Amino acid sequence: MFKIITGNIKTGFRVYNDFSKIFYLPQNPYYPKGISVFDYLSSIFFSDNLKWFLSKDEKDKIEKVLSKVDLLDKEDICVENLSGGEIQKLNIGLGLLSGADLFLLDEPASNMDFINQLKILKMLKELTKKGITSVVVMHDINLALKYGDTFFGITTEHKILHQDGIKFFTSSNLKSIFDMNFEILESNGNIYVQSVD
Amino acid sequence: MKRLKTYNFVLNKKFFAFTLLVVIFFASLALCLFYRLDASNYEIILKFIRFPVVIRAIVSGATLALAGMFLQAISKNNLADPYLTGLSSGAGLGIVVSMLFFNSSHYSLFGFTGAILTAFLVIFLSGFSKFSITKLILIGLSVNLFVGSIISFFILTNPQKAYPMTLVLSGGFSSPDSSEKFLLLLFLAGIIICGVFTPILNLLRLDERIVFTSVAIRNKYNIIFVLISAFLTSISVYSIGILGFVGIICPLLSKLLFGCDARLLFFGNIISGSALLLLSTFISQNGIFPLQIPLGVVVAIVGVPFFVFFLLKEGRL
Amino acid sequence: MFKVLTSLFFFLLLSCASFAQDAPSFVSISPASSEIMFAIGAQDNLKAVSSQCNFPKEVKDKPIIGDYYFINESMLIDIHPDYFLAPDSADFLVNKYKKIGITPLCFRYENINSVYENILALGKLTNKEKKAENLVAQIKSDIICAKRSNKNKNKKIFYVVSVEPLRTIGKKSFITDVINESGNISITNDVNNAYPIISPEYIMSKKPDIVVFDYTCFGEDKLMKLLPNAKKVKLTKAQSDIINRPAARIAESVLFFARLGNY
Repeated sequence: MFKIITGNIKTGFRVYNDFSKIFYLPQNPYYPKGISVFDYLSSIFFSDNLKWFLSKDEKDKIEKVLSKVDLLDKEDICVENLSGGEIQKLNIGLGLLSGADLFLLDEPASNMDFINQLKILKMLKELTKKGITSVVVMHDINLALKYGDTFFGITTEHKILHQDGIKFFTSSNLKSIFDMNFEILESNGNIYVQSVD
Repeated sequence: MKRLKTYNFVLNKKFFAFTLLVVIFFASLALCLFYRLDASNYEIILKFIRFPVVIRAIVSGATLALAGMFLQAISKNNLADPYLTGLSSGAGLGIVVSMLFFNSSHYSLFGFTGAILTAFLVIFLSGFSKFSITKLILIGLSVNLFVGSIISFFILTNPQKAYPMTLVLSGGFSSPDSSEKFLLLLFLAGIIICGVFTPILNLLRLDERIVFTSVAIRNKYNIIFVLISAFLTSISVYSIGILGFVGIICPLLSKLLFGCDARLLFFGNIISGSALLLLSTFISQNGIFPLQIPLGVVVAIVGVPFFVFFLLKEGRL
Repeated sequence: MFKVLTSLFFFLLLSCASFAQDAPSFVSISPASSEIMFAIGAQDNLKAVSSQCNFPKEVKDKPIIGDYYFINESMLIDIHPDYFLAPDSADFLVNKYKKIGITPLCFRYENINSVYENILALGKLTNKEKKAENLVAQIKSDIICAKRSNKNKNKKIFYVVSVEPLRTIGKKSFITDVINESGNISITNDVNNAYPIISPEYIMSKKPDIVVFDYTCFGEDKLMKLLPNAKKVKLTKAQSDIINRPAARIAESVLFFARLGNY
């Protein structure tokens, strides 16, 4: 679906959207070797011909985004020397610079440690307050229900389930999506999902 | 404070590499022009032999390196070379046709025409709307093979001219017939077009699956860059014929030395390409004077150790 | 039965071999060797020639077996000659025929003496020694006559094999020896190679009087660009393939260069 919206795959449908710009981040994006963090982010501004140098304004923007994603002190370090979480944060920074208001993220929290997963999802959650909607594909149900506002699920019969809030997580919904039995636990007002064999 | 230090260090290293290349460039330029200059008729030698040779070396080195840079950047493949789009075989066919059917020795002009026509054919076949680099490479490869077999057919059916034909096809021209003024004009046009489009390469270094505006724009730029590199390579064919290797090694070398900022790489490629060719020209003409070593051979002999040295030292591409 | 057959087969083979010793058969892809074969009267031993062989006229009547690049191998096995005459640059092509009993003969010719040796060697193989010796004597006397006809000696000659790249003759080429015999000087006679690619500046510094183009060479107009002072120089083109062929007509080629001296 992401690919249809962004135009990577051509279909017979024309996709209309209210969002001024879309930012799509695939899994494990490629980055050139030996590029510094600052240079990586600056790439996005070279979309006009004859623009050989960044303006002061654009440099400030990059600094601002770097401080937002906690990478200001690593701005001259090569991207390949960053950890997986930091690279993911950097790519989200790229989205912030692009001025998009819809982020489509393909498993942004995969392949990293638990703390970094939490940090990234927290950051995305904070972005929603600034009017940036993030659509995130996730396989970790517990993380999803903690940070998500609205949920979509595709059942094994290719039907789409949709529900706002944590009411989405019922045993019957999860059974139809994953074809497995789950039970919903509740403690201190938070709910958790656990599989039952 | 710490930040400033690392920044300075990086700048210093790049600055040092650039100075080194500039020194090599001017040293070989001076050697090419003034080494073993016969005092009695130095005016004629300079005007008719050495200046054209130097101009050709600079033009072809710079254009090949830039064309390689563009193709490697858009295909994100370090092995892409400027003759990717069927240019070498197109130029070869042009030369063979000029020798066989027109009995003319204007190899440069015919080679140039052949190269440009083939490049357009390949780009047209790979489609303007559903353009993709993989498609371009595959079509370029097939056209290269197809035209190459036509060339072999012509060579084998004309044993009388087979030997001169293989000689001309195997390397750069030693006595090109292109006019230097026209060549410089083309070169200037090529450099200006490159300068306009070079910063866009910085945008293209991001993963192409990351989408923030539209995919169509990226495809548009890809095709512009393929056209530019085909044009640049044809200029180099017009200048000294088919010369492999420069177009692969120079972009890689400057990537090692200058990082991946396209604005730096633009100048890095121009200076490294022309320095490499000037040095090779000098060695090819004066290595075992009065005999001449074919330019292609010298380019490989000079370029490979340089490249391997920096590859082992830096270790990343 | 088998024994009888094999013995019969061997007998046939032996008789073939003994027959071959009487009149060995030849195949030639070298125009020079074909020419020598005709000149010593051994043309009947020559079974097939290459498409490049063009002198004398009768050579056209022989079947064509190929050229420098391709040899019709089924035809070669049909003929099964004893000797395969090839230019020495093509020895890689013909060396493999040793396995099937065909001896490749790749004559080298670095000067006029080696041409004499080649003629005598072919005469010995074809039992025409007398004729070969006469031919060599004839050539020697012709060359002396030709040399005498050169009135003002020591003209500096620049021989162009090809313009692109600029290839000329060096010390090891027989043409250098031919020019020497004619009483003139090849300006590249000190270059230690057979057919070197030469620097145009070197040619300029040697100041040639006469530029001679090989008859296969084309693009002569380009040389003007390489030799800016060539306007004072006489340009001639070798009209036929006499000069680049180390064969029986070598005296004519000496005469050609000797006449250039009179210009």
